[in-house]
Amino acid sequence: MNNTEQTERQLITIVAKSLQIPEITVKLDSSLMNDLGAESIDILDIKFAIEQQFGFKFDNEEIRIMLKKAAEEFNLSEKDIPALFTVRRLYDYILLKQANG
Amino acid sequence: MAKSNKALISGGTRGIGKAIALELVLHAGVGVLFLNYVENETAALQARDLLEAEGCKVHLLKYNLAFPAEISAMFDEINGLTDQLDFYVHSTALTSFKPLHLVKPNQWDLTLNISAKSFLQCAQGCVPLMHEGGKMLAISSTGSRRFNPNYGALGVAKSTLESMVQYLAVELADKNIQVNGIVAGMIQGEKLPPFPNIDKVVEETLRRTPARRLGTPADVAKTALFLLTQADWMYGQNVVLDGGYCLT
Repeated sequence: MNNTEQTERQLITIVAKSLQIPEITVKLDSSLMNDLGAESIDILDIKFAIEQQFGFKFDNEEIRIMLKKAAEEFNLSEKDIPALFTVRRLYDYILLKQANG
Repeated sequence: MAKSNKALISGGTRGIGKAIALELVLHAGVGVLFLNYVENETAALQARDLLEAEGCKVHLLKYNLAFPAEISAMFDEINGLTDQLDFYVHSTALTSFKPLHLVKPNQWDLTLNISAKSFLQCAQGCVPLMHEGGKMLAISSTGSRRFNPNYGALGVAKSTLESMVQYLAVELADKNIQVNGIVAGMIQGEKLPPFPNIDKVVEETLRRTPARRLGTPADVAKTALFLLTQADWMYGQNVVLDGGYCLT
């Protein structure tokens, strides 16, 4: 298993554990809220667990900009942002943080 | 007043915590503040600017109190910056506002860890720094003792907090450390608490509140100032501050 596959596996474990769902139901393109039923406190729980596992702190401004860009890309409004908050966004963000050391 | 006192406030960059920080700087001789926060960087920087404009040195401490290792790291940083603390205020809370019977295990853990459990570890970290004596204050809420819809998890956490206040008050009295709490009613800061059906909750709260208004962070801060600087014979009390709500 290479590093990115390991990161994906670790992330899926974190999401599944937080939401108490089987890992097999967590896909990279799953929306945390719309598909997996995450509530806002669960998003924080997942975020905190990622910070502990991967050793960095989320920059909320970076996340906000990332989601805003995605909304613009898909011509979506602010209310659709939860749908954009997929497992893949977290995965990409972790890889970005890892790449930036 | 000489600003020789030092204070740690968890959750000190917003709302009640920030109001208490300001009150301590203006009226309790606090010249060095350690403000813990987790999430809102912008609010933290704004709080630092506001308090430093009043002549106080502010150290922002971004540590997540849900995790014991982060609390330890926070105290490592504090111990590197000072060998004395006079005040510790716990004003940190996080929860999921929903019926208690629907709260999931991770939501329960996060609520208890941040809102209550962290108070104990922070108090333990403060004791050696309060070698000349000190005051601790926990911010609780009336949901600890009365039913509030969708408040079960946080209500239990606040009850835990209040119980810790009583135990620590007795245990730490010999060290000249006083521990008290404030049991606040509904507070309207920059925004209302994110309860479901908040308009209805506010309407019902106002109807039952003799003071006919919600509380403000400044209301809590004034009582906090009294408890931290004047209430020399008060030990282990959780003081209800709710405009009379609990009486009706």
